[in-house]
Amino acid sequence: MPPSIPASATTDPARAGAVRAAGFWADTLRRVVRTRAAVVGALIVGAFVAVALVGPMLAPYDPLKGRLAERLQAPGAAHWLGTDELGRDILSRILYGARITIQIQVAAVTLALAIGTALGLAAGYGGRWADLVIMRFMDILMAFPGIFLALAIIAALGTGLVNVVMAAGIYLVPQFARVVRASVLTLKEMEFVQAARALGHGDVAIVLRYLLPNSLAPIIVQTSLRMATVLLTASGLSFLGLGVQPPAPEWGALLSNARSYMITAPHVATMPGLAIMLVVLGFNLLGDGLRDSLDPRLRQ
Amino acid sequence: MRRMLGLWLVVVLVGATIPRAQPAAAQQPMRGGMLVFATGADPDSLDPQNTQSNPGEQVNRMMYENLVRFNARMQLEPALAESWTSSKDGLTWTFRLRKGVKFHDGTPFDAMAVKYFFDRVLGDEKPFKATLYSPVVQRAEVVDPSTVRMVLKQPFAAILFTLAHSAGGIVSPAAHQKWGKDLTLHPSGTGPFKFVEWVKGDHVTLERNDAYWAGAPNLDRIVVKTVREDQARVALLGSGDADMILNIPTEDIPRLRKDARFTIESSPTARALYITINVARKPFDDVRVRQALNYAVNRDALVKELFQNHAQAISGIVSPLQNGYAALPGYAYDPKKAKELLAQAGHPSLKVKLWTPKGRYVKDYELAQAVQQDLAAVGVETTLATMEWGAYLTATKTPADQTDRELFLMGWSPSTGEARWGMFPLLHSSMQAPKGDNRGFFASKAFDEAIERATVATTDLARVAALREAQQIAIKEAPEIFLISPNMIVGMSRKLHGIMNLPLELTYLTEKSWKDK
Amino acid sequence: MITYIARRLLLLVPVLLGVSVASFGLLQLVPGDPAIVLAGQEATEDVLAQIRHEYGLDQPRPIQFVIYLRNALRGDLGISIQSRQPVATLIAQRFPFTLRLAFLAILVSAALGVVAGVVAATHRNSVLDLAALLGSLVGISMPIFWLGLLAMLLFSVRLQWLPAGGSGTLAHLVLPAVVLGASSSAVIARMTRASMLEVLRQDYTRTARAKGVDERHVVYRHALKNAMIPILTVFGLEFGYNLGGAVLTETVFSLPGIGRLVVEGIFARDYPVVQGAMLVVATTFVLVNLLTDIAYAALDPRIRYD
Repeated sequence: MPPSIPASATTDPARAGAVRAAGFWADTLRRVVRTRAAVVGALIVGAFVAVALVGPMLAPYDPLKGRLAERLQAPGAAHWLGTDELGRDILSRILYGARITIQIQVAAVTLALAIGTALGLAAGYGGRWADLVIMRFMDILMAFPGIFLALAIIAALGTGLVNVVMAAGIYLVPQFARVVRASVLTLKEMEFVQAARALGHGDVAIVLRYLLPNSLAPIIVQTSLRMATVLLTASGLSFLGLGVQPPAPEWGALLSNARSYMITAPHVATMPGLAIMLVVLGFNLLGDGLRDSLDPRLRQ
Repeated sequence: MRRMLGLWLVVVLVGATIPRAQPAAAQQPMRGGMLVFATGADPDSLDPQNTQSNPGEQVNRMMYENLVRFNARMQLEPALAESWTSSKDGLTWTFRLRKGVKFHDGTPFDAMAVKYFFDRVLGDEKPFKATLYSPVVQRAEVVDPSTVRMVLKQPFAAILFTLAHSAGGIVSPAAHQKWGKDLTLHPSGTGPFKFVEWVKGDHVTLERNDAYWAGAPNLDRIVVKTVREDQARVALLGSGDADMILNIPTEDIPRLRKDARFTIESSPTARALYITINVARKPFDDVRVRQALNYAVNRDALVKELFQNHAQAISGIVSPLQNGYAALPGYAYDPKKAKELLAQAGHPSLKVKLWTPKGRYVKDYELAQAVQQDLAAVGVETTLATMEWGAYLTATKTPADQTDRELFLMGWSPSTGEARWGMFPLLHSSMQAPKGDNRGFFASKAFDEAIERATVATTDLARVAALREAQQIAIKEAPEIFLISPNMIVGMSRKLHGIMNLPLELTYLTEKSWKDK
Repeated sequence: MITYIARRLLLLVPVLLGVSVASFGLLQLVPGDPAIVLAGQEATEDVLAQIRHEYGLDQPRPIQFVIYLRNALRGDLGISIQSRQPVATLIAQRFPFTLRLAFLAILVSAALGVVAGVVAATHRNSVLDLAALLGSLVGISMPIFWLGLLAMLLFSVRLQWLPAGGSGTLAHLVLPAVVLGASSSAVIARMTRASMLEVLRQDYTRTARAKGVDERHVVYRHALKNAMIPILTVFGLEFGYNLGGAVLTETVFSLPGIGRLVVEGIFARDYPVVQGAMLVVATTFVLVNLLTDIAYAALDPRIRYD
């Protein structure tokens, strides 16, 4: 993805990169702020992170301790979002659930980002054979649609938080790899990279000093969008009963338990679902906004 | 005047809360029609001698018949045997069999078929339910084509109850010879309904047996659908896609009762729900730990809040409806005492595995989570795991050296209706898994001795006394976390008539069942 | 064109091979005796011995894989532990249902998405555009299982217009297809809008307008046709998304599809079923993608020289 190079670029590749970078980021920031949707997204994501960090301290009740006598209470003064089928406070469970969710998201995205970026760099810069082989591996991973890949991992390894992270993460690796590869393929042809090569800089140096930093933009966009994907995958798994196990208040698990009470106590299902939707929306808006600001000509 | 009004109000309110009985059959049965019956779990087997749980037993009772059977009031009546006599010493029973009965595959039902049944449960094949009969029956003999003689090893007062158990369903010898282990996929009995197909995990289809000896059934077809999700099942009743459903979540009962199209019946059963403890695994070999677990659970809250009083707390493993039940004091809700006992045993905090099925029993998953909560309050942290019912039965049946199971939710309803079978298979040392249903490997000489005395007792007084003692020992040794006896909650369309509801938590259809158009 | 197809087919082979390796590898990851994993814990010693022989479990892994592949190509995907039926039979019973559902969902999403996208593009920056954009964003963000539950609550329970589960009639498919299609329609709407906007700006559109061609003509004949090209690729992606989403939809609505087969197989520890279903689903998806790519290349010659 080619940011434009100011005409004032010097012939020194490093300086050219640095100058371009400074103007580039300022420009981006301006564009981000201009895109209102992205701002809304950022606000939502910010709120979510805040909740995940401090929410548990603010939670009025212990999310794991419920009193059966208080089960399925509608939202009210004592319990702002009501209680669930075992008498636990839903608000507290959602607050704690935010932390579990963000842990899964950060872990899975970091995993996928690290592996995917490495693979993308190798594929883009490593020559035809590396490209061919690596992208075929990515094709194989992508051959399993949607949640099937995650299900395969769970089937083999079992349920639980760690396995959910792996299952959700592996699904993202091809996305990161493709994006980074595409970026590298374009950057590779650019003057400052050619110049660096001509000057005799080593391959690893070129990758780390020029290709990687200039690929950050699409990586960041993908990160935001994939945080949304991880949330949907993880909560989907928990909803099926194959993700994080009770009594952990993961949002998908909250919805799963609430199914039996859809008619008699719909409030148990409304809030967790709304929470998931809002956070996914936030990451999507932010990701889209970042993408639009970082390159308006980008269509994919 | 006001007092009269008050009285009428009380009468109306009381009348409105009594479960509605089936309307008196003043109407003529209508022939034909298909009945859809939605349950929460798939049958584990359709081979009566190998079936481990009720979903299978229910379907079997529509395809197979026994020598004797229960009527709706749990009284024994003739089925494939028209009459019977026993010798003075109680060791020899002679059954006069019904003539002209055929199996679904066309082969005749006769004394040879009955002998074949006994040979099978007493022989080397050792089907799962063999232990119902092998300790007490020595052999069977053919007297003539419609008379069979059964010889017992010792007098056994409950022998007829045991023959009425679903595992006493007579299978066509030809079918067993032909299919062997695959008999479960090719049922062939003498019952009012014939097997059509079994799409595992989805449904079983049965069709009317026109050659049925008591007259062709009214219904054309029965489809027993497995619908694991509670709400999906309830929705089927509401939309009319199912005529009858089991295991209705208690919260939905008030709402459904308002609908004039169906009736919801909630009645006590002989079933007990409990959490089996693997006593072969440390630290559960220490009785103090087991007792502590029992003190930790608030049974009354479970009954009142989780089940909305559609259940009762039980102090032991025998539920009040079982013949021979003794009302004994159990474990009160005492978390403090639980913590004390755990500390004494050297385990102030524990991390254990808790397994549970999901959808097999009403609110089984929530029950497990509620117990999880109670245990956490006394320092016992549990990790919950669930499996599909068939896999669950398999996983809880492995021998002690091949398993890591610790606590697991189970239910038991003696299909003989009496307390000896309510305890023997679960707690006698000879019944340890994988041979029998003692899935927690409990072994106690005192208990074995007491229950064996109940088996051979010649007087009812002695039997009940021995059973009482056995129950006392079981409570004290606490091989399970005792919980509740749930009601059987059946929802059915008012168009249905003649449904068989046994308090053994078995609901099924007979040739007399019929459906309004 | 032929060379393009040939090249794609050639690339297909390693991918399909890789998919089979992945499916084979799935079972290898499961802890425990592989024979028990395949035959279930109830299996007797002779059955286990038979399984070991049939699948070459005492031989090195590569040979096991070859046996597995050879069986798969012959249509033998093993025996289900739970139902004792051939896995291939179970899949043949359930997969067509999911395909039907996914197809219906694509129709729904196409109808909704294209219409919404065209409306948004032709009424750029108006309230309609904003509404469509917002709607599509919400659509992408809503978890399918939540949407399904809400839809079931509203249309089956409260309004009683549609059945809540099970299968049999077309009516049973309506709610699941709409729920599944709703999320995809959001993606298609955005794609359509972006694509249309791009095309409407292009030179040849301006030329058409300058020539005095009627506006509607411009939109439908020229713009839409050219805009459809990238949308076509999205269909391929959305089909995959629908296959994945079908798992959750089938669970919510209790449908007899392959998604629920896999989920229940996992709960029942029925590994042969899970493995077989994965192989079939992945293979189908790869083939569908290939077809979509070929269709794309047929429409847009520029792609062939990638």
